[in-house]
Amino acid sequence: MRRVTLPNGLRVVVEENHTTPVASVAVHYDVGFRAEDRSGMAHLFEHLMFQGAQGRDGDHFQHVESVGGFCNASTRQDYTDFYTVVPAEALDRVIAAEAGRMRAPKITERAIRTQTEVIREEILGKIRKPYGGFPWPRLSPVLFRDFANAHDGYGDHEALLGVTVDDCAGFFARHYGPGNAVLTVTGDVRTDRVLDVVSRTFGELPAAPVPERVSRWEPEPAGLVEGEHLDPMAPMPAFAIGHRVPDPAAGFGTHFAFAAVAAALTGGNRPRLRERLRRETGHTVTFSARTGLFDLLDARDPDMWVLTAIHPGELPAERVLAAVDAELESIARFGPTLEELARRRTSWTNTHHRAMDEPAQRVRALGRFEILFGDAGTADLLPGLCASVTAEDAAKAAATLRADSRALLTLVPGAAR
Amino acid sequence: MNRLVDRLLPNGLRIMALEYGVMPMVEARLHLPAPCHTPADLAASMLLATGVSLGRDPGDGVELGAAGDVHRVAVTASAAPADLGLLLTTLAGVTGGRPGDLATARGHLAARLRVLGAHPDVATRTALSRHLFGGHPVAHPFPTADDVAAITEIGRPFDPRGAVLVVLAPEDPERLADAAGKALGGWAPGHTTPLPPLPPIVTGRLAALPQPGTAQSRIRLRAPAVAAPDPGYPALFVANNVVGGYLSSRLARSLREDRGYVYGVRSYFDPHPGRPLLAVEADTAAATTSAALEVLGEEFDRLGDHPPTEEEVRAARTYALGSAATRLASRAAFANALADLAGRSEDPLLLFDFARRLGAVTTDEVIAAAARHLTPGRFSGVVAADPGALPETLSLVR
Repeated sequence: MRRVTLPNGLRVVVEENHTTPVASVAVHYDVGFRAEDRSGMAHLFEHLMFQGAQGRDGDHFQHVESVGGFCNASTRQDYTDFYTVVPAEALDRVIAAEAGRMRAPKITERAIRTQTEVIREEILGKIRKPYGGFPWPRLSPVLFRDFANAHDGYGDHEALLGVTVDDCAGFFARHYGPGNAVLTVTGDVRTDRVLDVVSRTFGELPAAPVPERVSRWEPEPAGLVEGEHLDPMAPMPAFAIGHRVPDPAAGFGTHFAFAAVAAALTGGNRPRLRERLRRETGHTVTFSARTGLFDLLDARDPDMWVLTAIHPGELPAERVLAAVDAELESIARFGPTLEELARRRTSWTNTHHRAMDEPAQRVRALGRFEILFGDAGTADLLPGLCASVTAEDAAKAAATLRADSRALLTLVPGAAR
Repeated sequence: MNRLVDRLLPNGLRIMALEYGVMPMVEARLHLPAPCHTPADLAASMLLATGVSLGRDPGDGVELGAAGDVHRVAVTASAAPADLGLLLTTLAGVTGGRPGDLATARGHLAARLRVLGAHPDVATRTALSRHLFGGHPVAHPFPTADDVAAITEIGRPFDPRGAVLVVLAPEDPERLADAAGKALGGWAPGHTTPLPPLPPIVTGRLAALPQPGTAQSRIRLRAPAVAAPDPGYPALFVANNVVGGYLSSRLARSLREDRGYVYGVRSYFDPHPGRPLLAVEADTAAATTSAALEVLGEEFDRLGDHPPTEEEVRAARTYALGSAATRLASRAAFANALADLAGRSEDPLLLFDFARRLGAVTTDEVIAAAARHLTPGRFSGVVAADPGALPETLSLVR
């Protein structure tokens, strides 16, 4: 892996892998929905970037697809990433297309209106279904107070209706300069050749002022903070709990310790919580838990540990929550068993290998660790960090998941019989 | 590279072992024919699949999953190369057709069906199956909670005849195939009765599925198509891309990029065994439902007046050829693609020859395929929507 910084500030990561004749390109911009002051602006801008570059015919999808590739993008708390996978021989054209839209995207009044409607359709599809929007984005305003952390980063259609071309130009100038971005290229490529092409394309872009990094930290909730959400389509009640986790910049190991707690509670085929409730009540509860609102180590501070449970109406939420707290207390006291830790290690490592075999996932992981934490290489330390979690580490993590400092979102089912 | 060993065992199981990639994992897919003639059969198949998924902890080294539908049970397994033996004995265990802890599997499946049953998309899928194939077992794609609760015992050994095992690993495929043959060679033939053949669908028949209060409507269309082995398939594949197979397609341009009516519109092959279909699907807000249907009709009409151009065909074919590399780069994706072909009762070897066939497609063939298969009158389907969102006459033909 090679990491270089161009004179205009663009950070470039290149990794060769000649297994399949495929090249991948990701551009991560250091702007996510926590940086917006209008709900959905970062997401809308992500869509608008696909209009492609000024002075070029066709949009970005057409450029990528006509050379045989596919592309997509996502908007997270602290970054927006655009990724493309193409047959290796088409790499130069993708690099040129990415540089073109970093220089000057083609943003028109008409595209803003159309993409605002596209986003409305996207959100309708994701939210208007049983347990849609649960836990994200509904849990965030329960755990957080500050607008940056609490608001709906998916997008508020009403708020987006007022977006102008000038708003977009301002957003672009603030956040989309080369100094605020990471370009990652992986796959069946030659590093020196890639760096050549990059310097002739991205290297020609003028430097732009880089916005100062803003801390999104806010105090942890005092006590239990509760919220309620009516889901007209849900057939069974559910709840989600959210807890703050330590700043990942202070060490990734802690996040793996929290993930180990999640795994002991809800992972594998005999997870503690499901087994306990079935043993004690005869009911089946569907649990899931993870560190990170979207993914492990996918955001800067503050992020959360989240657990969700969908349970039969006959089994009160208090009863399920009591089981969660009992198991958390047990882990805080005795830690997970060595067997639980070993199982977690095996399953996580296997899943990680399989994910990194997918070209889009690999290029996105490298770019994300570079943009969020300043070093793409740390992505390769993850299996070791997962393996080195001790029972004591997990116990310490569990001890902080206290019932008296927690966000609790209760989902009231509208479709319950 | 990509050395393939393809063997038929005496018991009828086909083993395809492929050396693929360098990532240190084994990917296996086991296609088990399991025709379900009744909702009770389907409930049993889905319970078996649930039991299989719960039966193995990924922490032991083998990640195991299974899904059952009216035709089959599809098993997915992966493990580190050192656990190849455990992976194969685990798969051999699955063939016995016992769900392990039945009560646990039942609790799980019941909870999942309850959530699925509330999903408007599932209701739409069920309505579509009935609309197209009413009277055939595929018209019941999900068992009811009662069907599941009624099952108190399952012992349904699978039949190795027609079953396909796909194994991909970064190692010698002969050795892989030998190990697989040893683990599964003792699997004794059982007995299955194939489903009756699917009848042809009635074309040009759209039905409304009233869902009062629904904010977003679901348009689900199907037209008769041809199967992958058919000489006309590659041309129709490219024609399908031109129409709705990717983001540069006519439908995606028209419905998404020009009008903002949809987040996504897809057209794709929906390969019911023996009855291949072409699917066109879009979700759109209640207010834009009539307009979106109008645009769909217009675009299919326009294919007649303005057939695919040389440039459109070139882009769609390049995309299809490129996707064969980009979408199948990971070992898991390649294993899935092989298993998908097996699952629709087609020869997985078709995958290896597809790029050559695509490359030979001419613009005239694509135009002919579009004219033959992609006319408004060939589509039947269901539009699930608030009754107020629908036009007076539900038809793509204007």
